[in-house]
Amino acid sequence: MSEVIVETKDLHKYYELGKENMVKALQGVSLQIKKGEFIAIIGPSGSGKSTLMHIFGALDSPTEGQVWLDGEEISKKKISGLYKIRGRKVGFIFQGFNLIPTMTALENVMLAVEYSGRKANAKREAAEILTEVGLEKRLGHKPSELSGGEQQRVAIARALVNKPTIVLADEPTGELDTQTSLEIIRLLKDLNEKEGQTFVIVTHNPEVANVCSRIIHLRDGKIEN
Amino acid sequence: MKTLRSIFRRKVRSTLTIFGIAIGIFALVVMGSMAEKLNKLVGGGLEYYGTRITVQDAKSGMSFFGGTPIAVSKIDEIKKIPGVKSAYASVEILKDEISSGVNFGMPPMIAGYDPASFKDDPAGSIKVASGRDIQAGDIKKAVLGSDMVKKLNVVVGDQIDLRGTKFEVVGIYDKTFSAPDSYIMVNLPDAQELMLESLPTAFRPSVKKENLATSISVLVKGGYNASEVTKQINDKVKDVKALDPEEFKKQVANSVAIFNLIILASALIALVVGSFSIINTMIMSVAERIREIGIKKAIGASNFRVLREFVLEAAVMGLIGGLIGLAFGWLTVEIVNYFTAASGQIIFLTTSRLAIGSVIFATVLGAVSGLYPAWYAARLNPIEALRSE
Repeated sequence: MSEVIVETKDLHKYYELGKENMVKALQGVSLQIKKGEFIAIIGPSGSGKSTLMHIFGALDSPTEGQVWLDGEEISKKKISGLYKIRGRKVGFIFQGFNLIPTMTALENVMLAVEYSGRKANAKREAAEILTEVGLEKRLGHKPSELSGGEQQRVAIARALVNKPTIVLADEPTGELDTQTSLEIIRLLKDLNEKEGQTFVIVTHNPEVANVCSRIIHLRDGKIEN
Repeated sequence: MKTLRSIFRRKVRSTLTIFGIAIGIFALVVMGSMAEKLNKLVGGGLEYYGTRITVQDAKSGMSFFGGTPIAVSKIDEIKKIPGVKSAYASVEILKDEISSGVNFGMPPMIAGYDPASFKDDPAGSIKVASGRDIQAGDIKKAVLGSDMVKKLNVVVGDQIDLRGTKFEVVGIYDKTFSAPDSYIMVNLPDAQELMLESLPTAFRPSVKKENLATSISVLVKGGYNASEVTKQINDKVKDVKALDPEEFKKQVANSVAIFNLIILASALIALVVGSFSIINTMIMSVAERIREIGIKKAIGASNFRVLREFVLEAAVMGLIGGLIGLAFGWLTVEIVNYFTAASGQIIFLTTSRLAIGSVIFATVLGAVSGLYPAWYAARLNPIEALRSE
C-alpha cells in the first residue's frame, strides 16, 4: 500500500473581491495523493485547479479545512514560513517555464539546491539532473539560447533536483508544440515510472490526461468524480 | 557574478546610478584629502605647541611667526618658577621678508635651535632622511624640511641663500606632513644673526644678538599642571606672555572641527543625492522582476533571502561607485599635488583611512539605500508575483 503524501480534508478557499463579491475557488475538497501517482487535474477555467495546486505546494493556505504534506499539517502555517517545505518537498513546473533569464541552465537548477540549504554540492547535483533530462551539452546556456522544449527540461530538472515529495506541474505543455509536448510528457512519465516520482499535472490537454494513472475532475471548486 | 549580471541587466541605468555614487565619493575623497592634510598640519602643531608653554614678549601679537623679540636672559627667571623642567630659546622668522603669493599651510620659515635643547625634548626633534642634523658649533649650515627641497631645488651639499647669506645644505628631514616640512633649520647663533639683521637699523646697536629669540619653549615637570605653570610665569616674569597649551589645543580643535565639518558636509550632500539614485534604480529593478521574485519564492527562497539578494545588489553598486570615485579622486589629488609640489606646497593628503573609509561608506550607503526596495520585494505574495507580466 503506497503511503499518502498529500491529504486534504474539507478544503475551502474563498477570495473577497470588493465588498459584496466573494469568489469560492474551492468548496469542500477532500482527497488523498499517494506516493508514485501520476495524476491529472482537469476542469474548465475558474474551476479551482491552480488554487488547489498552490495549496498543495504550500504557496497558499486554505480559508477552511486541513492540508497535510508528507505527514505535516501546513494549513495553519504562515506562507512566509513555508519556504523550507517548498524548497525541499515540492517541485514546481510552470506553463511559461519561469526560468531566471540572467542565469544559465546550470545556475537556474543550482538555485533550487541553494535555496534548500545545500550549497556545497549544488553544481554537481544540478549537472547530474540536467544530464538525466538530456541537457548535458546545454549547461552553460541562458534561457534565451534554449528552445521551448529545452527550457521546460531545465524547469523539470529544477523541480526534481531536490528529490521532492511531489512535483506540481501547471500546464507544462501549454506553450509547446505538439511534438515537444509529447516529448515532455514522456519524460515526466518516464521519471514517474523509473524513479517513482509523484506528479500532479494541471492540464487542459486530453492527451496529457490520458497518460495519467488518475484524473481528478474539478468544476466550480468541487471534485466531480 | 550573478549579482553583477542582475545589476547590469539595464546597463545604462545601472551605469548612471553607479556614476552618481562615484561623483559623491570623488567629492568626499578630494575634500577629505584636503581635510586630512590640514589635520596632519594641525596635528603636528598640536603635538609640538600643545605639549609645551610658549613664552613670547608681552608686546608680541598672537602670531607664532616672530613679532617683538624676547630676551634669552628671561630663561633664568622662567626656570625659577616651580614646575618648570627646562626652557630653551628659539628663533623663527620668515625665509623671505616679503611673503610671495598665497600659501596653503605654513610659509617657508628659518628656524634656529640649540641642538642640545632636544636632549630634554625628544618630541621637538625630527628624523633626518639624508645627510645629518644641525650640530653644536655649526656655522652657516642648514637642514631643510622635505617641502623645501623641491621648492629650492637643492640637494645635500648645495648652497642656498637665506636673506642674503650663503648657507650649506648638510641634511634633509623626513616628511612629517606638518609645519616642519616648510622649515630651514640652522644653528641658533646663525638664526640670531639673521634676526638681528632684520631689525630696524636704529635698534641694532642696542641689542646683543646672543640675547635674541622669538620665543622661549618651556617644558613642564611631571605632576604639575601646565595651565597653572603658565599662570605663574605670566604673574611672576615681567614683560612676557606665556601661552597656555590647553587653551591653544581647544582653539585649534574647534577651528579644525568646523573646517572639517564644512568640507565633509559638502561631500555628503553629493552622496545623499547618489543614494536616492540607488533607491530609484532598485525600485524600478524590483518592479521589473516581480515575476522572478515569485519564481524564487516558489522554489524555496525565504523572504530574508530575497531581501538579502536585493540589498547585495544595491551594496555592490555602491562598492563599484566607491571604487571608481576613489580612483578618480586619488588621481585628481595626485595631479594637483604634482603641480603644486614645484612651489613647495602639498595641498592634499589621501590617507588609507580616508580611502578605505570612503569605499566602505559607499558600500554601506548602497546597502542602506537598497533596504526599502528589498523589503518590498521580500514581502511580495508569491502567487500574485507569479501572475505578473
